[in-house]
Amino acid sequence: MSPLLDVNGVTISYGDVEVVHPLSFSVDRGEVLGIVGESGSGKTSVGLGMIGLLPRNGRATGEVMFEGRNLLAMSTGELRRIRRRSISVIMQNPAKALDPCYTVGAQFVEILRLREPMSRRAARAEAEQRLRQVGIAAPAHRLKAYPHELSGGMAQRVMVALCLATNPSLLVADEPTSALDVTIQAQILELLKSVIADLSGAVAIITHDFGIVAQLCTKVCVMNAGRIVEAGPVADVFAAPQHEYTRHLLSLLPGHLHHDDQTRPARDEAESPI
Amino acid sequence: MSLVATGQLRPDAGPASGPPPARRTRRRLNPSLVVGGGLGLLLLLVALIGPLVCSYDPNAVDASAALHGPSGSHLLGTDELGRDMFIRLADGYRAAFEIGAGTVAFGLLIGVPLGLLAASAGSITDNIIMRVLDVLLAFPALILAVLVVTIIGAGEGALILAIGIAYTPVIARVMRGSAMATRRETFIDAARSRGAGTLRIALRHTLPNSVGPLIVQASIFVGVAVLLGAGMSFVGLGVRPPTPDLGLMLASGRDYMTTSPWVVIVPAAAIMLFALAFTLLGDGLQTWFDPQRAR
Repeated sequence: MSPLLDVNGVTISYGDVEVVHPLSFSVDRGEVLGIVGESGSGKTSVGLGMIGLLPRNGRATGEVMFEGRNLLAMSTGELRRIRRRSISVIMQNPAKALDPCYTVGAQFVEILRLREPMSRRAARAEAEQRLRQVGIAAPAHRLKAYPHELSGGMAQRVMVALCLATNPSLLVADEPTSALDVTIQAQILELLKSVIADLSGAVAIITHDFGIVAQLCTKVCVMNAGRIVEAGPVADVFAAPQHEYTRHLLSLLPGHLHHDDQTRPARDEAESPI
Repeated sequence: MSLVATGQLRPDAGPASGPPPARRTRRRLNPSLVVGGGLGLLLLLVALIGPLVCSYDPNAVDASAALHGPSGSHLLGTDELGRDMFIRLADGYRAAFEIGAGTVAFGLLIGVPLGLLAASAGSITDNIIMRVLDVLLAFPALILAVLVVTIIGAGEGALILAIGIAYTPVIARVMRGSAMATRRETFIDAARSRGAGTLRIALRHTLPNSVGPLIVQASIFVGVAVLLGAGMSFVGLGVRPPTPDLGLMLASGRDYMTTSPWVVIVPAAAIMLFALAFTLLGDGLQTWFDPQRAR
């Protein structure tokens, strides 16, 4: 049987510039793929482009087979239907990914009713349960809050809950912890770990952080300058990185401090005086 | 400052988390908003209550009382036909509010959908709409007014229509610009990722997040529209005598300016105060919506 998501020879270009050269990978149910690379490597373009979420001037070619159908070849209406039912995206900056004009509850109601007809009351009940699932206390209370009333970590919990609300078979997370401060990152990482364990579908995590890959993913694609330079099960890549670039990235992980002696400032100049 | 609070880790989902911390950025009342809003309200009060507390008929001619100065019986004096200036002023303000509200309502009703459509639909639609509006924008408001008046005849309705048409392109532009900026926000992408359609994104997500600049613009336009309306009435393109109108009062009073200055000062000051009130209000609203940029 073919995998749930099979990306085949996909390229992505903005205007005349091809930023992602033909690449292929696949994710199946129960797998967690990490797409790793530095800024500008094209990882976000791939992650969002494969589900048709590029900005207006972006164009994706190739074949993205999802549940047996090519996402890049279908009409906007069909694509919309698939997004409503089967795909969820966790955005990078949770504080900006929630519409500031609506309460958390209203956003749940919208998303749930886009998926299938249901009463507002039922949607709210479902939302409450979802919020509880991501470890939010007093969910009924939070449903009435506006996004600006939430802290960054709380907003990302809400985002995760929103994304799970439709029971997606594909969950895409674009830098899910990058916009959060360090203490919150650890909490969200724990949350993602438990959420992924419960999920029956496939997950793709776009990140620059090998630490996240190590904790969450089962397989990994390392991207550099629009190409996949190395791919394979996480354990293999970590144990024996084949590519020079992968070795370089891995050396930047904390615990490999011997390697970055030259790049570290002599004193902690950046430390705040207060 | 409390070093303790910053040093503590606050887990977001602690079991005992009560009401959420108040993170709402406080929007302070600013002087422009208070003065502009207060003045606007005061003028509205004059327009609404004036006719009730003042027993004079705004159109009753009394030759024996012509060009009397301000006194106990005529608060702001009388004009060249002996009509009470205060009641005419109050009626003039009522007309001014009608013109201001009417033009802005017209502009919003047509301009907002056009601007939103231009921002949401493809670049072809955008170009068609905006180029047509550009042509309209190239016409001076006064020429448009002459055009409208020759077609439907002079009067308050024609005035509202003329100024409304003149300002629709501006409102559409503001709407489009604001909506374009909103559409780049992450939550719009998030809505797309959930399968929201173009219409839903435009109406439910883009519009409510783009109205700030529009409200500011609308408030300023109320003042500008009245200024323009008074100008048109002054040159005979707007309200017809004997209907009380600030521009008309100014026009008919200018012959007596040297001997009885109040017949000009009163309507002139009235127009100035009205325009000032709504410009300040617009300014204040701008600061209210965007405290950072105003500093």
